[in-house]
Amino acid sequence: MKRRKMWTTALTLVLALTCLSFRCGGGPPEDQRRKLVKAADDIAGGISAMIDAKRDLAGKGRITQDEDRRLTQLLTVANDADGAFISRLKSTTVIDASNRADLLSLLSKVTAAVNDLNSSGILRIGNADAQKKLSRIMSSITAAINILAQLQTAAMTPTH
Amino acid sequence: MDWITIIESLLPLLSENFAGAGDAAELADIALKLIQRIKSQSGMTTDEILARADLTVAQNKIKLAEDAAKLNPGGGTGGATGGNP
Repeated sequence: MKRRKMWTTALTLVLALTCLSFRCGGGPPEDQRRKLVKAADDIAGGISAMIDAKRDLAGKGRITQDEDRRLTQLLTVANDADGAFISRLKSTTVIDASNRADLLSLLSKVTAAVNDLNSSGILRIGNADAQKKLSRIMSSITAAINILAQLQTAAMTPTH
Repeated sequence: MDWITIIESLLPLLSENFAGAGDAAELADIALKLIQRIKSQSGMTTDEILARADLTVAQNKIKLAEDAAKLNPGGGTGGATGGNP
C-alpha cells in the first residue's frame, strides 16, 4: 500500500513537472500559433489516452455501461471541439484581429467541453480507483487547457 | 537540462521496480506516451504538429464511434434495422 502511495506521488510529480514544462517555454511572439498548435496536439493526445484508459476500465468492469456511454459522449464532444479548433488553426498563419475572435470562441468551446468531461463524466464515476485513474489523465489535458487559457489572456490580447 | 528525457528514462524503471503496482504501471505507460508526445514536438515543425493533431483527432473519432456502436447497438449510423426474411 505504501509503495502504491509512493508510486502515485511520483506520478503526480511527473505530471506536475510536465505542466511546468509548458510554462517554461517562453519564446518569440511568432510562436503564438505554435503554442496553440502544441496545446491542441496535447489535448488530442490526452483524449486518445483517455479513450484507451476508458476501454481498459470498461473491459475490467470497473465502469458501468452507463458511465462508459456518458464518457464516450463527452469525449466525442471534446474531440469534436478540439477538431474544430485544429481546423481553424490550419487555415490561420498569423493570429491577428481578423481571426482572434473566432479562435477565442473555438477555444472556449474546447475548454467548456473538457470541463464538462470532468464534471459530468469523470467525477461521476462510482468506482474510486477508476475515477482516480481517469483524473490523472485529465490533469494532462487540463495542463494543455491552462496553456490555452494563458494565451487567451496574454498572448492573444492585441498589443498594438 | 533536458529533464523530460530524464523523467522519460526513469518512468519505465519505476514501473519495473514497482512490479505489481497494477493500474499504476498502466498509468506509467500512458504518462510515458504523453511525455514522448510532448517531447517529440520540439523536433517537429508547427505544420507537422498540426498534421499529427489532426490525425489523432480523426483516429479518436473512429475509436469513439466504435465504442458508441458497441454501447448503443441498433442506434448507430445506418446500422441494420431489419433481418433477412
